[in-house]
Amino acid sequence: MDEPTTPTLTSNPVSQQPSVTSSAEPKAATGKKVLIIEDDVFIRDLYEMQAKKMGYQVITADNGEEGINKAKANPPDLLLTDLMLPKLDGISIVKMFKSDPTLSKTSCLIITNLEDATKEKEALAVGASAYILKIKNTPSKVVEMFKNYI
Amino acid sequence: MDQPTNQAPTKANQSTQVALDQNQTPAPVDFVSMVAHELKTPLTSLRGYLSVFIEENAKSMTPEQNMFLSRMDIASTQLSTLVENLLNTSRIERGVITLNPEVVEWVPFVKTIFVEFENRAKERKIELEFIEPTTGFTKLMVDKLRITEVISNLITNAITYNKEGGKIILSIEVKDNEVVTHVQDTGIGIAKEAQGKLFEKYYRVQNSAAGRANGTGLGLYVSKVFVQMHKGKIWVNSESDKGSTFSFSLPVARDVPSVQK
Repeated sequence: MDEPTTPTLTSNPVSQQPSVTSSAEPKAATGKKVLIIEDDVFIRDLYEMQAKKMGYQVITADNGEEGINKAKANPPDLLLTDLMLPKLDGISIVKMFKSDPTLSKTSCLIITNLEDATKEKEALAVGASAYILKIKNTPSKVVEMFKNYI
Repeated sequence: MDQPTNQAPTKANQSTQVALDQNQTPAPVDFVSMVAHELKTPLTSLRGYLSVFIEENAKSMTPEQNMFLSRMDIASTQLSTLVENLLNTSRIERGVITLNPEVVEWVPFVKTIFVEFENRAKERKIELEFIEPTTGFTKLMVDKLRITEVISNLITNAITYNKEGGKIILSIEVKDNEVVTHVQDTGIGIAKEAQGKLFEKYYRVQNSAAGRANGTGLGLYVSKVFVQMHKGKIWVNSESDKGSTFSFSLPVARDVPSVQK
């Protein structure tokens, strides 16, 4: 959790919070490309929608092999990958990115529901820039983080 | 049961074989942990779509629609907390909980968590009050995730067992080497004979009004373990029908070079 600023007890409840993203025109495209690898279609679609609203170009894949192939054909600026995936897990994907000259500069973020300090250390050790817990971070908050890495 | 021999397969001996196979299938090593983790996937979708919908549509909703969304949000948070407590209990039993401590400025950290319960408290017309210390050293070394769960469990209980129209006061007291956080409610209170068992795993106070026990009996147990892992203490003062104050202490982070005054 990020270090909080000091709110007041009269802050607005969730139902009255201002929108993080407007449902009107998306912000001007940042021109940055994001690859999202996530095998759960609901969750993948959610991050894709939010990222597009924030102006990112989005490529998606539902497994590691497909993700790596798409990345090699069209190197992304940022990778957001699930950890537990069919065929190739998130840590292996990050390793492959970091060892490939065309992909090594891509910022890699792992997103997962697995709260495991050992896995987190392993992910950061192989070159992931962040290990994000899905259920603790709203989709908007996750996409907001992208700008910290690209 | 003996295996029949020299018989052509029949429905009778096939079902016997199935029963034997089922008896021999080993149970997963940690079933609760596996189930709780699997529950997180649909829960992530549910909470994710709900949060985006609320962010983008709250202003154009009627008060009743906003109330529906708010209640869905609260219910999904409750479900998430339940899953988290299940997972944590499993991790504690397997001895695989580790802490990732970092320095936090305690007062704003706690206040942020407290404010997040405003919606839920409003549902039961419960007033929230935060009392912060005016002086004192309040930097602590804590695992933010674990301590957030402690505070959330205490506030959740203060709401659940409070009276409609009641109050919750969260206050922070600074002592020489520790900070004590109190969560006081104006709820139904806890009988003396139950107070000694409150922090035991699976213990649930019998709610005589409802004729049954509420909750899973895991929230306070998990909170106790997490506080103790931080070298703190947790305790309760309560009187039936007068309310309860749950308190926990945590040592200050004076000895960490980066936070020395």
